[in-house]
Amino acid sequence: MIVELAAVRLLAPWFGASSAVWTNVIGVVLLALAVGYLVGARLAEGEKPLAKLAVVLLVAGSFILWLPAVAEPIALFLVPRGVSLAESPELFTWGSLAASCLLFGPAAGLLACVGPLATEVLQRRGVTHAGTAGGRVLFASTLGSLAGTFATTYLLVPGLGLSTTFVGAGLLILSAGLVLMRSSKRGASALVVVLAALAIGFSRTKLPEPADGQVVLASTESSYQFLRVVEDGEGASSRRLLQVNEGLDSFQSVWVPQLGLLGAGYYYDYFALPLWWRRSEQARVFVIGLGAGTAWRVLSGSVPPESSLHMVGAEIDPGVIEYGHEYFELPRDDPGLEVLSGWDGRAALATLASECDLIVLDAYANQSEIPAHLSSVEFFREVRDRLADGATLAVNIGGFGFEDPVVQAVAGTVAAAFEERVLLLQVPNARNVMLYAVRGGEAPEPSAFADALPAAIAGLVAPVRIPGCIRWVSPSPAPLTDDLNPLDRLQARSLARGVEGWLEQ
Amino acid sequence: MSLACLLLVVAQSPDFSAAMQRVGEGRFDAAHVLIDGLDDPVERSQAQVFLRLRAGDLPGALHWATQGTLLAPDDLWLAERRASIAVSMGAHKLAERAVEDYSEALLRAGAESSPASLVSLNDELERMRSAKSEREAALLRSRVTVLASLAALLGLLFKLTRK
Repeated sequence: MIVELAAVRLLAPWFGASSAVWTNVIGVVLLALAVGYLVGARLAEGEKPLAKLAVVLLVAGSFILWLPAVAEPIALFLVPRGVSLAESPELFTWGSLAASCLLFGPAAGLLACVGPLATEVLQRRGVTHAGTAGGRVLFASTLGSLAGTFATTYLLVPGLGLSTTFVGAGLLILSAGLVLMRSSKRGASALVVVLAALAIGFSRTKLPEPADGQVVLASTESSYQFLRVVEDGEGASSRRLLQVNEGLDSFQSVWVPQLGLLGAGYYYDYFALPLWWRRSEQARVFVIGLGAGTAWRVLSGSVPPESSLHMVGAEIDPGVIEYGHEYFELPRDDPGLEVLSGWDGRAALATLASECDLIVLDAYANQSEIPAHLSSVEFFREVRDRLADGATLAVNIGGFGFEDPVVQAVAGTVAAAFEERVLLLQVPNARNVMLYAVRGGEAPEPSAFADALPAAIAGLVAPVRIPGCIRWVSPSPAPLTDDLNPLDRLQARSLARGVEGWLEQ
Repeated sequence: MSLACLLLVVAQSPDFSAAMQRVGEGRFDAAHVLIDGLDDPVERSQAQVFLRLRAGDLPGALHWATQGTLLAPDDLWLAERRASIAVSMGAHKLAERAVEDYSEALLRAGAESSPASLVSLNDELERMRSAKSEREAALLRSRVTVLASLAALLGLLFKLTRK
């Protein structure tokens, strides 16, 4: 289980950790296990099953030791440097399947031989019933899997890192093999130990290089994903980006030295608009998907002068929040900011004590996937119920224009939950669409309130006042629900449609 | 405003110049009203391209550039803008066509050597082509790896079932 769970993390910097990658890894491991059981059964038929068990463990352990070192060359063989998911979604699916075959298939197959061999050894040592021997082996291996499952997710990967986790697992298996190896095989054992030592020397996972002009400030494995902070530019024009998993050519959060609007091409600026069309003394904002705090810095520098900002931000990955504090000036003790670190957005929403003037939904998993439970009509009804009358939900949707299947599905679902039309706005110079839904009404057209705005905010509105840059969407008769939410399929269709589809609309 | 755009403005009608003025001031909606009233459809396309580019609406700019080049295939500014936007958006097929159209428009205009814009567009296009073929080769490698792994497994199973 250690290898299986850490496998996706090993692939993530290259292929992401989407449900397709998980499916590929689990599928390959299951197939390898099935074949491994048969091979183990055949090996158990002959003589000296204990010696065979030792050899299998030694080979499997050595193989696992080498995984961190060979992951990079194999990934680069399968996916060229710099390819983004939008450019070739098919490549990421096939690439992760092929990488799983090469990296994890052999290890899983070898480890599967252990069960039948161990059962045979037990039976030959006096446990007379095959069922008894098999039951004991299954008991021990399931307990081991249980320990491996919890330890990998909560202790090993976040605490020790991927390389050490694989090396640790490999060494454990190697040690078991060495213990079982008879004294007559000392020469072989010594060779294995040397191989293992060499492997440890080389087995640091290597990651994609940062882009030209970028400096890596920090990187780590959090409980959820690989995180990296890079910086480019200097002085007032410096910029820090938080990159995750395969999105190392992109970013999840951004920091610039000054508070307030970020400028052209950043969708975050459009979270500020609703606070200007419905102005109040208190701006109570709830952010689902706080990231490293970009929305906080943008809004705290761009709310109307008479408004005092109070933000609650939920972020599922505590590692992201830590980097937010360290590198993105996310305050630890600002009375205007409450951070719910390690909270799922939907669970956090249910705990809100007061109504909100603005709820921001900016939650993505694996760069491009909106989690299904944060895009259902039931969820958006819960959001609506947490908004004050006339207050707004703002959703960032990554997609190729208004006709994008994901944009259409999410917009129709929000409209169904709010029982009103919702406003879509194409973010200038970006592949993002901003959605606004208002409780008890419709969002105002940009031209209806633009004249009363200060220059910086008016600058946000001006580009979307020309025809074609906004779109109204009515409630969908078949919204996404908790029960039936084919967002995965829609996201795949969106990527397949791509830029060419956007331009044809 | 770039030199090319300045030249474009100088060569056009007063309403066109007024619209460009509004665009420069960031008054995009006012500019749009003026552009809508322009009589010459080519001029209207040019102005729309300029407006949409400044407003960050690349698909809109590309749409108007394409419309404009259909009306005036020899308009070098429109042809160059169309090619340049298609390339910058990574719309591979459209970019190939647009750069070719621009190149032909230059030939018809009697250009003796390729201007820097065409050279740079061709370079960019070449990078896109090479990245695409690299992706296709990688996809093939991935598929072959998966198929080879499956074949190896099947072979092993076959061997195991034959005693």
